[in-house]
Amino acid sequence: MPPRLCYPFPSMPDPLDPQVEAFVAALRATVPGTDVRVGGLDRAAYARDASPETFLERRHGVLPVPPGAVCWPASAEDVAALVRLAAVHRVGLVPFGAGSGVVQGLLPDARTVVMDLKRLDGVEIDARTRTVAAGAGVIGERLERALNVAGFTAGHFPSSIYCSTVGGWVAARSAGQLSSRYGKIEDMVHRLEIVDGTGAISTLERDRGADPARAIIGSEGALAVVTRAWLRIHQLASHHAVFGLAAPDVGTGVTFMRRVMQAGLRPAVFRMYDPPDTLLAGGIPANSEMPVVRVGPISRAGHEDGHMSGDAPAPAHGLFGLLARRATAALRREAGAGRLNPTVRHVLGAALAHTAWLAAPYERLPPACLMVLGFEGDADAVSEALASATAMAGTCGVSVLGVAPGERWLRRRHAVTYKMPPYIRAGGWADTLEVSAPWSVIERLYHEARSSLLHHAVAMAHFSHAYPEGGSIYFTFAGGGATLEDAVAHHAAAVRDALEAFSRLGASLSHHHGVGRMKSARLWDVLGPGSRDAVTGLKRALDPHGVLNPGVLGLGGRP
Amino acid sequence: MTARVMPSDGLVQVDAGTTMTALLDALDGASMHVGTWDERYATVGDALRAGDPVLVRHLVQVEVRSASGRLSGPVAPRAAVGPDLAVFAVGVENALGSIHLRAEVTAAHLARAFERLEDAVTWQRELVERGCTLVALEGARVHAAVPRRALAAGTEPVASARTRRRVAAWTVVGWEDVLERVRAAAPGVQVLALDTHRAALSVLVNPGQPAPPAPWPAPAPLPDAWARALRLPPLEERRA
Repeated sequence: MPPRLCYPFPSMPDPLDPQVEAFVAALRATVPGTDVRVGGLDRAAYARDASPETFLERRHGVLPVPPGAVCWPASAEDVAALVRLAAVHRVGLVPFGAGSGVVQGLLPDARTVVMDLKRLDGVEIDARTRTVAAGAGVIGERLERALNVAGFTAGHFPSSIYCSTVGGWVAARSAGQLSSRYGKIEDMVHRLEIVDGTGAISTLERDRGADPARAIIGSEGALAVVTRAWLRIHQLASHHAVFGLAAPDVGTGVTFMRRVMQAGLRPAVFRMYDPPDTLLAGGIPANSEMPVVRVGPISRAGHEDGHMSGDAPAPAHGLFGLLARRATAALRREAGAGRLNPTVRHVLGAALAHTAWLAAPYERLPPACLMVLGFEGDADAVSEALASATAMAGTCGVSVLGVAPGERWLRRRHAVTYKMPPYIRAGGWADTLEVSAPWSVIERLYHEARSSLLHHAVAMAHFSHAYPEGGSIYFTFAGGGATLEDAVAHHAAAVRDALEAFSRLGASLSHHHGVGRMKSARLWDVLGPGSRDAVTGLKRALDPHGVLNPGVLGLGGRP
Repeated sequence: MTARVMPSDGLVQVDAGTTMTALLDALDGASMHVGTWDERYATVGDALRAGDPVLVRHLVQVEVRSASGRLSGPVAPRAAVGPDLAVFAVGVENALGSIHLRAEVTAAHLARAFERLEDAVTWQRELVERGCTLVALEGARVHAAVPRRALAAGTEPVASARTRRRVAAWTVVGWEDVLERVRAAAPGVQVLALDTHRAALSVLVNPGQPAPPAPWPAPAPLPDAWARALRLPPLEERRA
């Protein structure tokens, strides 16, 4: 059995920052319902989010600066008391959901206290108004299961549903995989309970005229702590049809997506993979017979096991496709087994250090793109939508492939792990960037942003979310570096050039990951010259002592 | 500025001073809509400042002018780039610049009269579930703009329902409360679908006609502390 890699666990700085020490003492005396800990393991566990830098640093034995303490409030009143204490003792407070963010939204330091909100875990379903009141700390999967038992769904399925919370969704303006039908979290929020930086608890109603919740959703913990959200929910659909299609190229696929969305078809899922990502998604089946897509009842079991194996083999696209597919399959086996064979590790490490080698076979793939399209609802609605969509596919030059690609996507859609990925263990890194733009920009955006990334990394993309007025592209890119500094520099250059392409074309910096610290340098340019003053003004109004997640979004501020 | 319709992007660009007449004319010409065929307000800016739920539902991006310069989100669907700066434009008196609204396809218009209000509301909700974004109910008659012809099968096609009526009062309610609220309000209340959960109830009047007493509370303003974040000059200068 190959040796497992392990990393040293450095000791915590000692003693505590004196202001944090005073805060902790006051907290223990005045907010007895809130657990607080200052032990090394707790602090190390809350030192970072799941951004690539975190993994890189850990791979190289570098421990991030931990927070001064971690606490677990049990109610909005506890949160309010913590905020008031933080202002008195001049420590920062970082709201924490499940830590699955990837943009350095959580970056505490020794004078910061992390506030884990998972004890805010109430779920109350109101069947009459079709809303659910969920505590900020409720994990997505738990919420969805509770709703399913009552015959409802939130319709919100981020791939991180097992490791993200309702509060995190609201703070980062999250999107689920079914956003084309159910919308993003900002479309779902009916009402918010927040604690602002003065310790005041407020309930923000929507649809009453001015809409203050607009400023809180997506504010990443900088303006207020979301303690509870009322979300719109939907009756569980009885039927669905999820199937694959093949577009001859990216441009044709984009046109088809646009037409479907603008015809008001409201698909539950609509994705297109570019040629390299098509390969990773299982390829395009060679079956040339006219496939049949049927509308069927939805089975609630067995779709979300996250297994990576068991998929039917896809045809190779020539020699380069065969090589790329074999390499991908080998990596999947290694990752699935939770280990990395030393030979694979060395080969992968070398390839990631010279991404042009790795990219070459992918660049020679045929231009065809796999698409996955799915509808859900009652049988009549799904049948009508399916007939309209397949007719549109024919007029657009897109072929219908049958149900296998859809079933494969359903099986794997939540395959996300906290484990250190094999490419990191091999000395490489990987990251993702997601961007939205109007339809007229999106094909050019894909080509220009991917070209920018290819200077530094191997890159691929899928078109992950579709709306009537545009869509989102999700780029995945990977590279390497001989040292930690090299790897960090290559990664930073790749992100910088991709964001530059996004800005140049007027696209967003993010569709659902948020800004954090990773993209904050570009934020105010994108939002216009008056934006920084305006948001700083809001920060001053809502968080006059600067205690809430200091530094996120590029907003200054230390208590 | 006149309204610039961008059919392939499903967008229409206007500015705050664009009249609703100009907007609706431009959209009619492109067989599109923004969720209403009533003028509702004199200008697009007036509608946003009033927090009109119908136009706000179609808002993609709005430019606000502050003392430090303009600010706006990108013209990109559902961007996650910090606080939504439209908070400074919806239901608040601020100076607005360029505005992008989502414009939706009108493949056909249809109308259907019902004996009972509850049947009309049920059909209205069914159309929304099927992807219709302009479904209006007045009395017990539903009039809709459908995004694909298949949805108009079995109904008589009708002409567009353009009117110059203005909003005297509005409120947003969940579908579960529509029947009760419509029956409790003055006759002639319009029910306009917003989405699968919500409908906007509006009291509409013809230009020059006196507004009846509002059956619902006035829309809530942006809290003072939030509005002050822009550090704006006096209102008269902002609106100039």
